[in-house]
Amino acid sequence: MGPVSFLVPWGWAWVAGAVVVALLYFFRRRDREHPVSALFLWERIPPDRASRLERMVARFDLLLLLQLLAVVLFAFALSHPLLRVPRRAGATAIILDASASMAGRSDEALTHARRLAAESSGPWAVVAWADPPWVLVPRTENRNEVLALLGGYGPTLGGRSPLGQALALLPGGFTRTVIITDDPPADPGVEVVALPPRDNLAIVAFSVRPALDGTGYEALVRVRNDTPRYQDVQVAVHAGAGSVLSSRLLPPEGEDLFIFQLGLVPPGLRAELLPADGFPWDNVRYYALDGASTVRVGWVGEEDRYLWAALQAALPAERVAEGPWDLLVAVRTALAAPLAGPVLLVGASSPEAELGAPVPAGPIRGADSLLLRHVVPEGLRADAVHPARLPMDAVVDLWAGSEPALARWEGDDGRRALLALDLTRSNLPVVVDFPILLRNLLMWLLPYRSRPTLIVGEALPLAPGTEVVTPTGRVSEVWVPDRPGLYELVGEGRREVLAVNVPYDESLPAGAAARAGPTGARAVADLVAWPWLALGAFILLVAEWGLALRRGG
Amino acid sequence: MTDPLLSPGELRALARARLTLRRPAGVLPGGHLARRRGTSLEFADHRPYQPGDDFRLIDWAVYARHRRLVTKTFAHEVEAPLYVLLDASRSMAEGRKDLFSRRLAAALLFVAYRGQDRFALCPFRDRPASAPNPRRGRVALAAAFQSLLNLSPDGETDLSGSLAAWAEARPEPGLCVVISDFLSPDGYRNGLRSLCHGRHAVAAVQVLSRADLDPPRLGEVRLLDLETHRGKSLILGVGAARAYREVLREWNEGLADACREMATPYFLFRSEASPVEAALELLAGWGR
Repeated sequence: MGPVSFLVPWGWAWVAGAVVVALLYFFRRRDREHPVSALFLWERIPPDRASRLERMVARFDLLLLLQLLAVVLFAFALSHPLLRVPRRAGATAIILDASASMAGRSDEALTHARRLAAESSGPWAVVAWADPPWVLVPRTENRNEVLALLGGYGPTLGGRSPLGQALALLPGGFTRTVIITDDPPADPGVEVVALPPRDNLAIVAFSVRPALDGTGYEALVRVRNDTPRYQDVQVAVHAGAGSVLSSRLLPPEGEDLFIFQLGLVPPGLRAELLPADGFPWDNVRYYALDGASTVRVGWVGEEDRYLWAALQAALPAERVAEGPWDLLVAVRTALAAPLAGPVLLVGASSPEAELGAPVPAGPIRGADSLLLRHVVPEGLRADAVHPARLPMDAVVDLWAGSEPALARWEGDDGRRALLALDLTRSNLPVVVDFPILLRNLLMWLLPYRSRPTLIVGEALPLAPGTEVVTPTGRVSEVWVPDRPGLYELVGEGRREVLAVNVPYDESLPAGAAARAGPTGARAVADLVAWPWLALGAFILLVAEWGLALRRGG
Repeated sequence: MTDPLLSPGELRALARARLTLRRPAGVLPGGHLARRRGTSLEFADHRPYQPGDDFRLIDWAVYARHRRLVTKTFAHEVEAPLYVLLDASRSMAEGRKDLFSRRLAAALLFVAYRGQDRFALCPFRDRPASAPNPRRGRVALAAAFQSLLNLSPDGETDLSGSLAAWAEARPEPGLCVVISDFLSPDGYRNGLRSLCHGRHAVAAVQVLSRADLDPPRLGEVRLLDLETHRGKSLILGVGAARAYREVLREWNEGLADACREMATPYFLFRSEASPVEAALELLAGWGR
């Protein structure tokens, strides 16, 4: 909306009255007389050679101008214009953005807040807009108190709550609300002081996914250059003891995706971006994987030291006597009831796959399968194999003659794998391919899952018996992280890793309003202008009347 | 003297003003120095003795030093009545010229009164102005002021005819101040010349209003002559106003030239001016 709006736009139709005034003026009889002392002098001036047009123009004098102005002013008044004029604010509520993107911009925000307090007559209240928001300055009419309490303002490393939550903290009676932020919300409905965007280099996305060829994992790091210059950026992903690096030239306002190939993946990863800038919290990002930590294994059936050794070689594993476990290994036994979770059946039958008595095994051959990566099936020997009745959707990766030796399928509640070879009469436990095969098998059975990334300020309820290890001590029940990083979750006999990051939104470019440049909130009021316009028109008419009288018209 | 013509302050400003002309042609002894030598007590000059001169006027001190007979001459002081010839026609009503003229006339009459001179107020319109005998004193001044108060602009102007007719009445030679706008289509030369021929010391005082000097741009208008009631329609714009100012300038230059030919001082005053200042300016300029 512009500075002027009209409640009754049709009021402008009265401007047509100006045409009537002009017509009456031009066509009425001209009988205005002006007395002079000596007409004979006027009779000596050259004859009047004015054309009709010049006469018409000559008739257009000040009186007509005043009349037309009066008509236009009346029409203007009848359209009921509302003028948006600046005013001195009274009760002013200030919402100070306290999200992570405001880190390092406290002084700038406080300058605007102090200016607003100085330009208004009060009372005032200030709310820090973070997640959750809090009242920084309660309602007060003491300006000095406001200025003093503003000193307690400091941005968090978290995000922002919905604007409504911050507005809900404001007491009633405020006629003016101003938001001071570097990322103005769309159509907030209140005044906004938009801080200009700052130069920033940031990791705006960090994730890990399995490689498409199944050979491992990929770390994906997206970097954004929100500076007006080209930036030679270097990205490093720290995975356990090793690190991978890459550098690239980023154009201004540009983004690029860095992809790193990872082999063994630790439960927690850290991506780091160089060079550092004024907002370093988004130059380091953390990521946690569920499943990359120690696997809890439940063991059913006979003991098999070779198998257990191969399992431990494949991934960190520990035996648990009671559930819950991450993997159930059944060795040469028969499971009566279907079990939940991933299950590795080694010469064991289950309701889903029944095994028969061992039969002589034929030559072992393998299909083209991810499970046989780095495995030479022809080097494997077995004297016996259990014939199996497999589910319809089972995939056979290894054959012993005509009998399936290694099969896998998706069960109702987890993945299943069946090794039908009789390991006691096979060379598998003593060949180097066996732990490789088991690792491939376990990677399929226990795929790594991305653990949801926490953001600073996000409350995490902890299960009874679990604690989070932080630099300041252990936290139980509810944990609210206040710094990004990798944290260890311990309890119930297991250890997991949690990744905490600064909200990614805080690193994204600000909205169009902020990018347009610095703007200042201005207290405005809608002024009902029609009485003044009508008064002006009346004054014009009086002036016209007085002038006409003076002329003797 | 609490009339509205002149305020007490204005009267005080005029109290010390004097009419000091060296050219009056009066015959009665008075306070004005005449051009010819006379018998006053004020020494004027020496001149060679001529037979018939009064022996008492021979300066024997000069004879003792130069062995030449010279006779002392003395200044001649005569009385000069003041005649204020005031245009009272209808054209003087435009722009309050009549008010200024009446106040100026009152100021001049007051100066004459203070100088013990006789004075007479002679309004004129289209008929020959009356020629009352000049009188002096408070009573005469009060009567003149009352006449000024009662005077209202009316009728047409016949400037030359009125002045000539007044001069033909052969009033006693004196000081004649003609106050008018001099915007008479019949001219002014004959009237002024008649006054000069009557051995009067004449001063022409032209009074014009702002509208006379710089007419307003009224656009299409019908100009109406205040005296003749004749009209003329025209577009009074910048061009017409400029042309009128040029005609008026020529007219006034003609008046000034005529006054210069007749050795008559000419004054032009705007009707918005102060009559007292105008009177003082007139007295100062007339005496040179």
